[in-house]
Amino acid sequence: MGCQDVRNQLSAYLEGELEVAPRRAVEDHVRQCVRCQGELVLLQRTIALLRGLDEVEVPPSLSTAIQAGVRPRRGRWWREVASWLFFPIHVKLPIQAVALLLVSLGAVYLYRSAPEFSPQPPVTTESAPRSEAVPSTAAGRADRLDLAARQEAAEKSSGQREAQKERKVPEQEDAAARALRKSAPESAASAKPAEEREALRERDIGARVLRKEAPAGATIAAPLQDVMLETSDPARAIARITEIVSALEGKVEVKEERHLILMIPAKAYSHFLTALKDSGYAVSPPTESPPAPSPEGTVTLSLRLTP
Amino acid sequence: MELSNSVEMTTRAVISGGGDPDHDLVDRVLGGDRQAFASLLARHQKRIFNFMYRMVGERGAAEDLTQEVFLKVYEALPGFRKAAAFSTWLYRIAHNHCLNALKGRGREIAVSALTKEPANGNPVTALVDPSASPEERLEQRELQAVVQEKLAELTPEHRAVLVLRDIQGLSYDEIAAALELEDGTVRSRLHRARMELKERLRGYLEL
Repeated sequence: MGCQDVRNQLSAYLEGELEVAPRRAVEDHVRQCVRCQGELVLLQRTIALLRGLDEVEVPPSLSTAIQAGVRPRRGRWWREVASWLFFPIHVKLPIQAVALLLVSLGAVYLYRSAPEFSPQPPVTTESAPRSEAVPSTAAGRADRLDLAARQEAAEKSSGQREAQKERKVPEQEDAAARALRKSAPESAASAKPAEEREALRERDIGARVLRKEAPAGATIAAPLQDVMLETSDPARAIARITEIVSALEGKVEVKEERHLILMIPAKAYSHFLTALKDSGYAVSPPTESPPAPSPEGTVTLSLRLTP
Repeated sequence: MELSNSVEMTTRAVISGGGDPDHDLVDRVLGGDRQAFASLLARHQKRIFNFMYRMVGERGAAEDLTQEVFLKVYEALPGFRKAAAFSTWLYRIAHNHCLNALKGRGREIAVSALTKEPANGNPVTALVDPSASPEERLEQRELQAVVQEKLAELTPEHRAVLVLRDIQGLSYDEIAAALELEDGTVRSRLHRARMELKERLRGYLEL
């Protein structure tokens, strides 16, 4: 065994870990080799120095500091909340997932079954005499109040579902009623005082009807479904309506004292409404969009005059 | 040598042995018993503090690191699997934390330890013979300071095995578990560390 081999074994030799044969080999070598003997002694002293080092006393403040730094085992509130909500994950997460699914399904069911959200047939919305149609994409309330802008938008508008929703929202109805009142002086500017009062009264009634009495699914799209027009003077109203319809090359058939059948060319329908409005009359439900015309291009209205 | 033997016996009594009493304390701590944590602390803080002191060579830094280790242990306690002795697990955390701190602080700790903490830190009183003359005692204290100084010059990996084996008296198995090394690696690393320290102390050891 050479010097390097012996020196590699010195640590194990001092630990008493060598088997008999290698231990004797180391001992034999060290007896004969002064340098390896010196290395062994130095290594022994090194280990002795290390083992002789005393333990350092722990500062008394250390334990206190550690215990002060340790928070109660219960943990912070958010951890407790998180633990309560999510742990054990394999139990609570599936439950939460199922609950979320059920809530979602419930929401969809409610959405579909609620009449407010269900699809409705087209219906007109406006009781204001001047209006012809309702902008389906009116972005805001201000736009709705702006009658001129509304009229422009109405020319481009084709959708009617929004109009249905709008009709049902009281806030928007109020806006419509306000707009109606606002426009009253303008629209009635050329009317006689008595007619003006009558027109204003009828408009107010129209607004109230619009607000309170309009049935949810009301529509004039169906031919011959009754359309109401409130007036205290049926004879004068019939005369005026007849005049308007005739001017538009339509026909008026007086069925009863307060029941008229109007046949108006579809193209002239908006003019009919405008003229009606200008005369201070409003129909209920409001008829902004023309009902479905006949193959001949004629719109038929069943108009009942109510006191 | 008697002292080192007694240290080793004490260490082994705590570290090994069936029915590790620490396991019961751990359970109690997890159940919210803060007194049990105080007991764990009392049983182990001295050895961890000494390990840190020998590793970094400065009491203040050793204090900080010991505190950090026990706080870390407290937080990690729910993850302690009782397959090993608590003390082994504790040493593993302490060793890793110490190496990270040494890497983070570079050589700052080790270098400061060489000069700032001479024998008046009372680390090596066992080497001081009470019956020795004042001159001899001064010489012994200086030698103790030199040992700490040369220890600090080793790599942290070599220093750790020397501290655990020759100063704290852990078995090879315990060291292997604490440092997460193979048993043979512990032995060879220990031998190289001893030989390196011997070379650094040569001038002081030769008579």
